[in-house]
Amino acid sequence: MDIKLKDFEGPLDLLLHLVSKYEMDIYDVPIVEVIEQYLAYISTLQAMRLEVAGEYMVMASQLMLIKSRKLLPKVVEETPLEEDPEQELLSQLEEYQRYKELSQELAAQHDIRARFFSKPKQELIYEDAELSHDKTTLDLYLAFSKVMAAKQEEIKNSHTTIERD
Amino acid sequence: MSYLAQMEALLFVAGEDGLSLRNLASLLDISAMAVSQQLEKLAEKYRMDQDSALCLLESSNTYKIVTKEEHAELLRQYAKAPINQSLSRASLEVLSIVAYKQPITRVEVDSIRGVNSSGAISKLQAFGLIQEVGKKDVIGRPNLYATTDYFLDYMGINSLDELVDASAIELVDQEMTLFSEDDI
Repeated sequence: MDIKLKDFEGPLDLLLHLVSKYEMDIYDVPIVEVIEQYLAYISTLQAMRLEVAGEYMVMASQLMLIKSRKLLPKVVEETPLEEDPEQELLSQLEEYQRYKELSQELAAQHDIRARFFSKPKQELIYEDAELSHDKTTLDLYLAFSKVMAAKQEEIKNSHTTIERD
Repeated sequence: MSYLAQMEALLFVAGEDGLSLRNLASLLDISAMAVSQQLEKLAEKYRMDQDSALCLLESSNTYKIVTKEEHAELLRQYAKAPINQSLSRASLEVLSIVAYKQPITRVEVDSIRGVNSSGAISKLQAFGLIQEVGKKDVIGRPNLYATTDYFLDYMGINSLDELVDASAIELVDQEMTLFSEDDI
């Protein structure tokens, strides 16, 4: 296994990947085939006793519902009781794909900005400066929490994990 | 004293916070028009001087003295300021959704991504890229999130209009292999 679930940002990302192999419009994709691939992929992972995030399971059950409904003959009703889950999923996929692309654009734009460096603001100190008591305990608490959160994130990202073969 | 020197002094001290046109105009007691002319001169001076590593950058409506981009590689080995660091894929996706759909709640972000986004949201908040901007009037009164001024600086733009037009995005496919041949 060279690719694991951690390479995907959730079930929509995985579905998008499966759909993208068909190289056609999302709405023209043979949905049952895609569903089968998704379920096969999830069960392969489970067989290997890998941790599968709950969200993938929720998606799997939605897909099973879509698939089982497609197998049943259409009952003509005067008013359709609920939305078509298949169409809903496809539009969700399309929207997710849009933001996935946009996030790449944002990253590229930030890369340009990241090429310019500057220095922190110089704290100037004067004898006659008056302290304007406009900060409270809460400000202090929030300021420190913010520093801690950013630091923890940094530490988390600097870890190296060794995978088992 | 030349205005250029005074401006340089102010911008140097302001550092990464930068100064707006209005700040500079009131400090130097000249019109905003005059300030932007002088700024252009200063920028030109830096541009022409091959022995200077500095240049002027305008982002988030403030002017900053920054290093020229050709020094990025050298400085990357040395500096690690938050603005020069890139984000994880998850954070980028959440940031994009907030940028284009603000104000937006966490649940709305979750439903677009199909995964829980709390982690990415608190991370982006800690970095100061997004902030809470009130509550949505629905059951549970969830927080609404929007981007900050720092986000503009992070992207090197002055307003959200300068972001890529969302409707102009071509939906292209990307190729990856799920299983390599010998795994199955």
